[in-house]
Amino acid sequence: MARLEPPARSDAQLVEEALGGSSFAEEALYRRYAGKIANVAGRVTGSREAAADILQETFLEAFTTLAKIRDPALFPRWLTRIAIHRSHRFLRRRSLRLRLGFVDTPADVFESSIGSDAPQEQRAELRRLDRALDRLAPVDRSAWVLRHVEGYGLREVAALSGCSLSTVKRRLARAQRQVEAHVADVRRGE
Amino acid sequence: MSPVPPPTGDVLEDVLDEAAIASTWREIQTRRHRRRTGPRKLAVAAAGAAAAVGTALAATHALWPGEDPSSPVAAAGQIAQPLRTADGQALHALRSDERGLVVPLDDGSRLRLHPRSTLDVLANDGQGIRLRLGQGAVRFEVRPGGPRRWVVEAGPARVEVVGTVFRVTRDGDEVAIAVDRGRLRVRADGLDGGEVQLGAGGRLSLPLRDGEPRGATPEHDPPPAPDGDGAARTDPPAATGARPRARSTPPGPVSAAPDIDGWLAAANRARAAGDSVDAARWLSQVVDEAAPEDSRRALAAYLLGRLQVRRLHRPQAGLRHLGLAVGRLPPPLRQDVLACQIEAHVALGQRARASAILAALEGQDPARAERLRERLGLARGTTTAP
Repeated sequence: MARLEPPARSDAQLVEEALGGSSFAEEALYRRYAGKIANVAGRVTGSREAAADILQETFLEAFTTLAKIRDPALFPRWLTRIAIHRSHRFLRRRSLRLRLGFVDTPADVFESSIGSDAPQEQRAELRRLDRALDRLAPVDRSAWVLRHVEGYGLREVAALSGCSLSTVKRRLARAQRQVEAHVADVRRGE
Repeated sequence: MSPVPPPTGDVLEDVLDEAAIASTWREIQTRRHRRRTGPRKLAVAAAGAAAAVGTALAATHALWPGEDPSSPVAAAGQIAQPLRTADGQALHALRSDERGLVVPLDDGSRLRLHPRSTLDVLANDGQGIRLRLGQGAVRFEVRPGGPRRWVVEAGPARVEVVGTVFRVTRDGDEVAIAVDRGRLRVRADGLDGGEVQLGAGGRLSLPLRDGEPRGATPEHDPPPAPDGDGAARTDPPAATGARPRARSTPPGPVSAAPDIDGWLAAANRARAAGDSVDAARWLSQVVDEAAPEDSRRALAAYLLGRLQVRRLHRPQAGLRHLGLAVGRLPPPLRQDVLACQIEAHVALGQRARASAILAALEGQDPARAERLRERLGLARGTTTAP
């Protein structure tokens, strides 16, 4: 008799299968989370190019070290942590390049993430946001993005950032102050 | 309250589009493949040559090209709910028995599974639906103008749908796609430009294991004639529409790091284009440059020998290369090696040797042996050792 099968495989099942050598499971995990990881990496770093690199490195690292995962059901969180760690590393290097005087492409990941038919004012706001986030410390920026863009709860942000809840709150408050100050400055200048 | 209305990821476009994500996956695959086939691991891989051949073949078909930014989903923006069955149930993996299965969906689309077919739901997250045909055949009746992006995967083929009725069949070593109504786009490595548009009446078949599309008839042409020979095929080039990509530059001086996969892909393209000479050059390059324990070398030797026997009329050279491959290939290909060897010996006038090998083939595939015996006019019961 024809029948409906149980729901698609869970993350934990796919992880177990991937550990057993299933390339299908690996690809399924990639397809399930690649978009999310790319978004996190791109918005934390402010760079699409970096997002592609980090996406690749994140999954390579994940598949190489999959056996280390403690709870396969938490695969997405584990994966996101890797991506955030790599994003921080990218931002630190970028910061160093800037200090050394190398020209760097200004971040435009938010401005370019809105449809071409979006109102000019909305586009301008996002451009200001790009510039404001560009000035933040990597850890502050990632906390702000995870909280306000990706919509994670405070505890999740703490878990993903590998720090305490109070640290996350401090980072968020600091980031928020700087973002508001920068946006206000820019508006006055306009 | 912040002076900046904090944007959420939900209202922003994805940072990377589908094409970039698919391309990244291919990069990941390539890098992992390189790691796996490092010098030390090649020795281990040799032990599982048969399985590795399959993997290498599958890797040449690694597919997941990008989406069209002008797709209905991109135009319509985000969709709140995933697709469900018409009676409101979540859409799960589908399996049909002997009688088949019809699944009406809540957007008016309909899936008709032929008997003993499987259809997995890879993604159904409200932005579109991605299905994978595991086996059998499914007729997709996609409601035209719907907001979701439909993608159906079957082996090497990725079919992108707007609103149409079509059928995808996965049978043995090939995937066949037939369009009844509307238009769709099929993407696969080896197609000219990586994709082909199929209109009503269009047909396309793609090999699951043998490298390149076997032919396409984008508008109203009958499907390619089936190949009676069950093993890997070396069909002539596509007549229209899905011509293989332009030929790559023939092998030049050997580089420091042999690009075995690239050469195999180039050989496949040349074979699909009907250029046996060019294909043989690429395959010779693989045979010469790949490590002896590399399963891809056995694969290349087999393909080269087969070309030399059946297309290039060089049976002696063919026998030499087939000899490199036999014993390192999985059973179905091994039988084809035997068949090629028989043909080569017949071409060389060595009928006793041919009959001896035929006796060996008889033990593995009697029907094929009988067909060969009749075709080549070989005597029954010869036992002379080759």
